[in-house]
This record gives sequence, C-alpha cells and structure tokens, in this order.
Amino acid sequence: MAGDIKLDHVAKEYQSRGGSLLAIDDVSLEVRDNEFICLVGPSGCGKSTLLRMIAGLDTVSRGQILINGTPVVGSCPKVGFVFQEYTLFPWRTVQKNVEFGLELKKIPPQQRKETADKYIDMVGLSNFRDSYPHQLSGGMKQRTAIARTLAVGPEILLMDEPFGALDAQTRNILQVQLLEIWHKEKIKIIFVTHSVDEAVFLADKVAIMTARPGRIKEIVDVGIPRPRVRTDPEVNQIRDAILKSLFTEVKKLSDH
Amino acid sequence: MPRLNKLLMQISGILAVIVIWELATTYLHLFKPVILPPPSTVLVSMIAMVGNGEIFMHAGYSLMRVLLGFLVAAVVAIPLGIAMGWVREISYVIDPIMEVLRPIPPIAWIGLALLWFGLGLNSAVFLVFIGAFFPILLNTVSGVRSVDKKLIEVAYTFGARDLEVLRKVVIPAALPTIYTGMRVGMGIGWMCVVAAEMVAVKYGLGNLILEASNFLQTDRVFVGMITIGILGLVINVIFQLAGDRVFAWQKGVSKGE
Ligand SMILES: Nc1ncnc2c1ncn2[C@@H]1O[C@H](COP(=O)(O)OP(=O)(O)OP(=O)(O)O)[C@@H](O)[C@H]1O
Ligand SMILES: [Mg+2]
Repeated sequence: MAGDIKLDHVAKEYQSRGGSLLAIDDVSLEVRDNEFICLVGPSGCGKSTLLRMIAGLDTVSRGQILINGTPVVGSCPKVGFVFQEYTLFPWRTVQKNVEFGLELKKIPPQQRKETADKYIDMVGLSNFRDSYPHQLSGGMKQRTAIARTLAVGPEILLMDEPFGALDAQTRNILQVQLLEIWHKEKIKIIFVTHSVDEAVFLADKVAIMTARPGRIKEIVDVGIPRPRVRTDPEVNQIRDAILKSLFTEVKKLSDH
Repeated sequence: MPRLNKLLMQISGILAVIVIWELATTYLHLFKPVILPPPSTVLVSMIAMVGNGEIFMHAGYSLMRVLLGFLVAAVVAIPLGIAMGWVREISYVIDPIMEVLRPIPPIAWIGLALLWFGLGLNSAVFLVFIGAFFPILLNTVSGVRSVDKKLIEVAYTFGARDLEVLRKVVIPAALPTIYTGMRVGMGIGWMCVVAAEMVAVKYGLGNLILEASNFLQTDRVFVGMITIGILGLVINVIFQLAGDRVFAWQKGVSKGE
C-alpha cells in the first residue's frame, strides 16, 4: 500500500541551555490502508512534534520513522502538512496558493491551472479563486490550505489541529467535507485535535497520548459506520471512554 | 463634508503663512528683500524660471543624479541584504563593517567623493548612493529575517529546496519591507543630491540655491528650495501610491472592490 507509515520506537529530546527535555518517549505506531487516525492528548504531550517528525520538519532523537519502508529524511510532497495557523502566502491569490506545490514540481501552467481548479472546486471556493488571503474568512483560508496540500497528490495528509481556530459551525461543515475528500482521494490522514468530539466523528482509530513525555497510551477503534451521527448512543459511549482515558492524563499535568 | 473641512483647514494653514509673510514684507517692510523677499516676488521669479525652462533644467539634473545613485544603491544593497538576512555567516562578516560606516552622515563623504571622483556627476551619484544604501540594506536584512517561519516550513513540506524557498517565499514576503527601505533611501538620496550639488557639480537645484545665494538673489534661493520640497513630496507620494497598489495583499482591506 502506498504511503505506509511506521513509527518504530520513536523518541524526541529537545536540547536547551537548561538541559534536555524529553518530549516524546518511545512511540510506535503503524498506519496502513487508507486509515484516518486522530491523535488526542493533553497539551504539550508532543502531538505537533510527532507530526513534524513524520513530515521531516524535525529530526527524531531515537528510533525511526519509515514511509514505504524508507526512513524519513527531510520533507517531500508525498507527505502533506496542514498547519493549525493560517499559512497561506498572503501575496498569492487562492488560485496561486493552490498552484504553489505544482510550480515546485515544474508542472506546466495549463496543467497546473486545471489541477488547482479541481481542488478549489472540491473545497467549494470556485468563486474565490482570485481572492487574496486577507479577503477570506478563517474557514476559507483553511480550505484553501487543504486544497493547496491535496493538489500535489500526497499519499499521507498530516493535519495539526487544522480547524482549531474555527467556530463550531464551520468546523462541523469542514469535518464533513474532509471525510468526503478523504474518501475520494484515498489517502491516509493523521489528524491532531483537542476535541474528542471531532476525533470520534472523523477517525477510524483514535490514538490517545500520555502526558509528557508523550507515549501512545491506547488506540481506540471507533468502528462506527459513516456517516456518523454526533448524538448516537454508540458515538457517545466511545467519546466517554476516550474522555475518561484522556482525563487521567490531563490530571497528571495539573498534579505536577 | 468632514473631508472637505479637513482640506480647507489644511489649505488655510499654508495660506495663513503666505499672507502673514506677504504682509510682513510688502506692507510692513519688516525685512530687507535680500533677507526675506515677499512671496509675490518669489512667485514672479518662479514663473519666469518656469517660463524659460531654467527650473526644469536644474530639476532634471537633480532628478537624474538622484535616480542614478538610488539605482546603484538598490542594485548593491538589495542582493547584499538578502544574502545577509538569509545566511547568518555572511551577516557576521559584514555587520561590523556596516556598523562602523553607518553612523557617518552621508554628507561627511563629500571629501572622499571629491578626491575619488573629482568635480562632476560621479561625485553626486556617489553621495546619493551612500545616503540611499544603508536604509535599503537594513530594511532588506530585517525584511528577510522577519519572514514568518511557518511560511518557510510550508514551502519545505512541498519539497522546496533552499533556493526555491528564498525565491518563492522569503523574497516575496520581504518585498514590502525592502520597498519601505527604498522609499526611505530615496528620501535621503534626495537630501544628498542637493548637498552634493552645492559642492561638487554645476547645475541642479542645490547648485541653483548656492549660486543664487552668492549673488544675493534670495527670491531664487526660495524658488530652488520650494522646488526641492515639492519634488521630494511628489517622489514620496509616487512611491507610496505605487507601493499601496503593488502590496495591496498586505493590507487588511482592499480598496476599490
Ligand atoms: N523547538 C522546541 N524546543 C524545545 N522544546 C520544544 C520545542 N518544540 C516543542 N517543545 C516542547 O516539546 C513538548 C511537546 O510540544 P508539542 O508542541 O509537540 O506539544 P503538543 O502536544 O502539540 O501541544 P498542544 O496540544 O498544546 O499543541 C512541549 O513541552 C514543548 O515545550
Ligand atoms: Mg500542537
């Protein structure tokens, strides 16, 4: 399967003047098929760090990360990243933002435009092609960022709280759209979120991390067929279980 | 209506100065014309100098010199600033040199300018270069350094190599700051060209002022000064308007849509 991810006893230590800080301690995880994994965990447990290492933006301290069997060295377009912050290039229109990765791949302009159009349509921004980021709402900015990442055809999509800054309404709409896209594009997604609600609505599997140093505490198979109803008893049950597991970790933080 | 009021008030300030000036000179004879000629006299000389093209000749020389010096400064300072901002090691080497040179007022370079380039165009261009160089360099360096790190990371996640990041992210993001440096540099260059023309060359607005002063033609001194002021203002406004257009993406709101 293209884009298989394997984390093999991965640890991350940050060096600073005051000594070293163990952010991640021994994480092993495999993502196969076209799984949608959500990563939840208390603040500072290393979720962003983990994604950044998979994306090749940070190096691992111990262990290794394999994509299709080869260790990650630096970034490549096969692994797409959507940041929590708004990261559109403000001097580029929506169209030009989405074409960014295609330009790097030296795709000719005509083909670039067609591909960009397809993904702009997919995220429902056809009427905003020529808008600049400052003319877009937060939700539109994140949709553009998603289209920009998808346009280069990644096999893996890493998303670090991409909807964190959005209102609940917009969030719900984007979640549904993301599931449609995931289904259509046949990619793996690792999605970090603070919202257990969001995790249970989206994920095949929810990985719960411990408080720092981050480890995988447990992986919950959601296993509820989609489309899911947020108020379903089954959904509630899984959500409660995850919340409980998470709560003991969050509590560790406040006990320190 | 409030806008009209504001305009009226702005004009009335200038008008008041002119009226008081005219009263103090023509009617109250508080000053000798060689110290302070009445504005009407200045206006008459200005019209004469516009009529015979003299003022355009001087302004043309000044503009040409400032433009040349400015272009050379931009061509040198922008690439150097980008290199210094992007590669730490380069700035470690260059920074101390710049820190020593920067506090020297551009005018202080006139001595060297004359020795190196003699009387003539090159001296004036050199002085403008010195004046415009530092603001452009410093703004370029800080523009490149303050580019949002997240945007750079985004480019890397798309597999960009360092030079592509520089070309497609860092430079576009830094352009507004670089442009601000150019605008400031142009302003200082304009001051420098006037100073240079008083010492190093014939013709030009600075030269006009100095010669007129030597011949006690105070009205012509004023014409020269007013022209310098107006042209400086026009240059700045052109820079501002062009910048607002080109960098509209930077603003919170876009105009005219
Ligand atoms: N560049 C860095 N240098 C030093 N320490 C870092 C660095 N980046 C992160 N850390 C530390 O590593 C730990 C994990 O950070 P990380 O950002 O991965 O947490 P997170 O789980 O994403 O938190 P949140 O949910 O708040 O986003 C934190 O304690 C943080 O202070
Ligand atoms: Mg984080």
